[in-house]
Amino acid sequence: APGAGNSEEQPVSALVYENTYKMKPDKKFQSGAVRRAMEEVLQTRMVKVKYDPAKVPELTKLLANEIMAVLKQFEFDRYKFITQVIAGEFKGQGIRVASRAVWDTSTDSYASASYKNASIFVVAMAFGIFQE
Amino acid sequence: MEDARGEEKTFVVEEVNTVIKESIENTIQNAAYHHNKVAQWNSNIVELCLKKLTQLNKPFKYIVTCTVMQKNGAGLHAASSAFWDSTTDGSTTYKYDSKTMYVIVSVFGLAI
Repeated sequence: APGAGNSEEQPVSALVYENTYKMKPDKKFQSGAVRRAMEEVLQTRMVKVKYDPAKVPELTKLLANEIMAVLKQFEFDRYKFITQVIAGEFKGQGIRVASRAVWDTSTDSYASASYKNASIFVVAMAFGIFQE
Repeated sequence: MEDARGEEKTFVVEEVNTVIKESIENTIQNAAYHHNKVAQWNSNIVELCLKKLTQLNKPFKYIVTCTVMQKNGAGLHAASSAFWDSTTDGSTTYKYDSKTMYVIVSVFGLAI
């Protein structure tokens, strides 16, 4: 009977992975390829889009999720990803985006892409961090 | 909670927020938006944040992003999505508002 404490069964916990003892990734994060893929996503999604304060929040989230899906398609094993998308209305104001990180430079990297048209600008950043 | 090293291994949001706030206030100090100074401010904020975060001595890799925008009546949206281990990794975003500009700082912490 379920839950009656069958002494022969062990409680099934989450899968326990054994150590691979791998220090470096097999396939390293390729910023060039990722950047090209991101630019493609931006081009296809942002064509003829006008800034609309009601629609842009949804658009930003959509772009972040799409770029995340693209990153997963690359199949970089044991990599964690972070995507950040910043979109704003283009009104002649100044804006600057900078980022810096403390990580392992031999395995971790980033890629960024931007898009601009008359009424809207988009900056997208993707970071890939290797899970040691 | 007993921990062999005596340090927390999860991302603590409040602590990081305090670090970010101090870094921004130290760098900008109530100044007005100046196009030529923004590059300097941006680098300073990010470097200061990273330095203070590493001084916390936690087993984390950090990514700090800083956006400075002039107040012009324009709208701005930021979104981020992450693929990580949600038990140990975290992120925080801090928005700072001055009379002439907006500063948005995001910090992502990933456990080693």
